[in-house]
Amino acid sequence: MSARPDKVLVDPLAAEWPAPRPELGDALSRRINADPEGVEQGLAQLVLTIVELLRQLMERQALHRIEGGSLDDEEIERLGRTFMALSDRMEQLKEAFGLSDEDLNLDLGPLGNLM
Amino acid sequence: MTASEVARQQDVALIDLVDRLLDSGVVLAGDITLAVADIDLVYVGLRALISSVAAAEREGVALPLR
Amino acid sequence: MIYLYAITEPLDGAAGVIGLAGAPVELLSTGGVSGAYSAHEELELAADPDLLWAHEGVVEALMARATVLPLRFGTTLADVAALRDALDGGRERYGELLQRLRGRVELAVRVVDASSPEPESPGDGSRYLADRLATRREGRLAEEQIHAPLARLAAASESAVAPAAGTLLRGAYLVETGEVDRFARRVRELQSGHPDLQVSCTGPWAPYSFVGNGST
Repeated sequence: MSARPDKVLVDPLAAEWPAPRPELGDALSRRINADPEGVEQGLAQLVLTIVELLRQLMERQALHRIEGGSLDDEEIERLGRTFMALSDRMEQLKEAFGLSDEDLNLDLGPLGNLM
Repeated sequence: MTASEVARQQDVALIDLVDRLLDSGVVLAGDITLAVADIDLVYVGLRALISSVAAAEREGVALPLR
Repeated sequence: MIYLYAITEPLDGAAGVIGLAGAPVELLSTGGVSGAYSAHEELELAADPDLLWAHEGVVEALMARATVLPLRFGTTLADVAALRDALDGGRERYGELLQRLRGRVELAVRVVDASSPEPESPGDGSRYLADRLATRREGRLAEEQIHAPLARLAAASESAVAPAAGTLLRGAYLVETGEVDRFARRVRELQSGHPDLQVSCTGPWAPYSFVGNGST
């Protein structure tokens, strides 16, 4: 059977839900049917994944610092703009290589997913 | 239950199913979900990177922001 | 090749359980554990909901008969000999896990912000970070207000704050089979007490989140 509404124990009658990952099928078959012609894109995927990971980690660090009160308004503003710019640049790079968020979420096996 | 309520509940259950089946569960060594050798190598490299950054975060070491 | 579904307490047979691509589920028993698998000439694996539910269906059919350590979706091995090696290699660890998980199931909880405004382009740096901070803060509040009380009802639990766009909190709870209804009631109570949040609970699932991080 392909659908199991009986698994839902509590349903908040929400109108909107985070959508099931849209590119799931593509991402997984790319992992499993690893095709040799995808090498360049594979490398791009890897590099962008690392960059995105570092961006997220640095952003978290910045948020810790803001919460800890150790940054002044000007520093916060500068950081914010930088992260926004980084985020925009990531979007451009992803588009250029035809990669989605799902593609960047590498499975690290025992470590779980990257992000 | 209306058809749209059933559909929404199917989505609700599917999200949690996906989270479990793709992100959790026992991982056996030798599992072939990633069949390309160079991706395995990358695992090792990334693992070291992730561990060291994660450990630094845990210890409250401020990562360089510039 | 063989496709793997789960590692279980020793079982005599999986008669009648059908797995992916209509293949019958078989068991290999060795050293106090059984491995459940199906044999295939070839198998096309994709993250298709039908296949995911088929995998889950096998896991649940086995769960009705014995304690189960569910495998991640997509695990294949060359043959039964490889499975025997894998089971023998992890025998002690699997045995411990099976003990710990006996009589227990996993329940999943997800909290979404019911009142979140339409995302608008933040327009400046401080605003961007402020939005991110707000989401994390709300996620941590949800962790205190929703996760913590539920964790008290569980033998073990995990939570993730703001794990993905749109989700404030994701929680997994290991509860006694007989406690599922009580847990669901508590979730409904918490939902009523927090109309600004949308709290869902699904399950029972096999204990995917409680089989540990390390591979063998």
